[in-house]
Amino acid sequence: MSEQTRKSFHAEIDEISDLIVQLAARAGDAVARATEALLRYDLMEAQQIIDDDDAIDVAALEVEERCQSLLALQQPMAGDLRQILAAMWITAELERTGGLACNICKGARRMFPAELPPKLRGLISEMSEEAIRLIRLSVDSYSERDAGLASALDDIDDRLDSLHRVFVRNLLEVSRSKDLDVQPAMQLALIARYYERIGDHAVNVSDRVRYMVSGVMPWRDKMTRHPTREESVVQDLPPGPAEMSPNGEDKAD
Amino acid sequence: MTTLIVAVLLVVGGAVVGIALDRVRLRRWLRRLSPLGRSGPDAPRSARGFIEAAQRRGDLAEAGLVSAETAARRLEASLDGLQSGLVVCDRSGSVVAQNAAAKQFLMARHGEALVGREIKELLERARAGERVTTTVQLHTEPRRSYEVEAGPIERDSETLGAVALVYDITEHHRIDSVRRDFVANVSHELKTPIGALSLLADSLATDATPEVAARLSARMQIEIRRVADTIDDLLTLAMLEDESGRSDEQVDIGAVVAAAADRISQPAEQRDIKVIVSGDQDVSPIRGARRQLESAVFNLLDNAVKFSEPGGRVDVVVETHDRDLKVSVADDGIGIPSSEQSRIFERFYRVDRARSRNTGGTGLGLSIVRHVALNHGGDVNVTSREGYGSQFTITLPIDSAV
Repeated sequence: MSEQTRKSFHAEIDEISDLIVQLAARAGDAVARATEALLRYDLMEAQQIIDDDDAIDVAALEVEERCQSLLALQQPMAGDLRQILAAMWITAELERTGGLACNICKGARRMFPAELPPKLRGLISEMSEEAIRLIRLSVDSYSERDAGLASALDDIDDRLDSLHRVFVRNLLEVSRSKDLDVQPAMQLALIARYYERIGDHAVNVSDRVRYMVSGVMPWRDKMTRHPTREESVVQDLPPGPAEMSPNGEDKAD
Repeated sequence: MTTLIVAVLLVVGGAVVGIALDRVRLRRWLRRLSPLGRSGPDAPRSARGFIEAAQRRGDLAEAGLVSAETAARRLEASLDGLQSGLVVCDRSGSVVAQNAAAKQFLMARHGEALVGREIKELLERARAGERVTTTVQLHTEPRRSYEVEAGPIERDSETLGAVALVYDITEHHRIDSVRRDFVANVSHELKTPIGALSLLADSLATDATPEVAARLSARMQIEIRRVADTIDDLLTLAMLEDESGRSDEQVDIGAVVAAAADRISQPAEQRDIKVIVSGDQDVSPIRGARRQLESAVFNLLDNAVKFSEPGGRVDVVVETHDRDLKVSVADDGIGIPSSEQSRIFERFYRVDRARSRNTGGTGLGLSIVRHVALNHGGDVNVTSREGYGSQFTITLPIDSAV
């Protein structure tokens, strides 16, 4: 690449980075808003968040298209190529995070007007805060190209995973004591799963950061580890509806 | 208008800094202008005069640059001192100046990045000649609200660029909602029992049998009690506001807590809730108003008992930390949502209005607690998690002289 081309290439990459940071800020904001709508039984706000998700999708599409045109026009190699690939993958993860915030809102609508028991409310707040913290940390690792922080995120996510397990346990207790009907209990189980998935997407972002910085592909190790991990998770879960899939029009996560 | 002046000043400031930064080149040019190498004693008189004049001009120019540099630095420092963010872009859209507050948004990585995005979008529109304002609300912690305003910089009907200003309007928003909710809440608290009384009186007036009349009048007594309690609490609050700086007696906080715990023991027993007092036995007395302090601690205990499930437990701890006395009341009740915690000390504020009819209370208890703490030079704060309980802590300076 000539000096001039390289300069505009890196300026373009910087702009894409800025767009990704903004996208992450929007996704994090959507998660915080969704939690508030859920806890306040605010259906108007829930609808607004679902409508606003279109802007997140458009922003994600813009990043993707810019990445595609850079790939086509500049044909980057090595580190430059990894940066663009990572940007595309990270964008997809953030777009899904926004989608999961919408799913939380849809869950809030489906379980209306059931009242949430205080303990479950507290746990939802905690899961939301933890999920937002993970999004922030993943963005930090991206902005600073910090592979160390990025590789720590998988372990940091354990806290959200364990909060999810505590939530399911509490939900089963509440359902057994008949303080909650089946439909809202089902929705709450799904909602908790959405928060847990948001954490997973943040970890995926950090995996892509590691790839961008050093070229390693952590997801390949995870794929080989997958069966053993799955077993341990199943053992930790209390008996009951451990695995439920999103119903209706929810987007797959 | 002010905005434009500031913007133009900035552009000028930028130019001055630009020149100042190019001092090296200017000096080189001046040296070339004054050929000192050739100024020997046998150089013609006119040439020496020319050289001296050039040197004088050089010195003057240098002095001018130094003062321009100082002025630019002063301007930059003043703009950095502003709490509002300020960004100026030129006609091509490149940012030519930004103060420290604006940098926070433009370089932000988390929530504030949304403000940065809005600044850029508005600057684009302002370059096209529009004057635009928008509000950005951040929902992640720390929750804040910003207003972004942008307009074109014009001279002789030519657009030179655009300027954007960012104001933090979080406090305005908070005050607005406090005011709005206060009016709604106060009318709810005062009108609901009066509405109920009016209905009950109507029913009583129309063919009520003695049994029905007895039931209705019992209900009326309850509603009257509610209004009376609200008025009592309002008067207490008014008195607290008025009394700051009057009562001055030696108060033994241990005794205050014991008295409040004694008053709550019966309602607590009725709800099967244990109230346990512990901590420092003999804390040094403080100066203040005993009745006020007792009512503050009682209010906290009353809330703790009301919002705990039967079989729960309330812990009261008295401790000394350095020169502060801390009285904390912790329960394992329903807890308070984090988004409401900053508002519960407002008058008539209710986290859950529907529930408040069952739990009773006037919605003024925590306002009274805060006023008492403030009157004693202290404060009250809360930590809480929904479903796990709340802890309120009153902090009082030991040397407080009211």
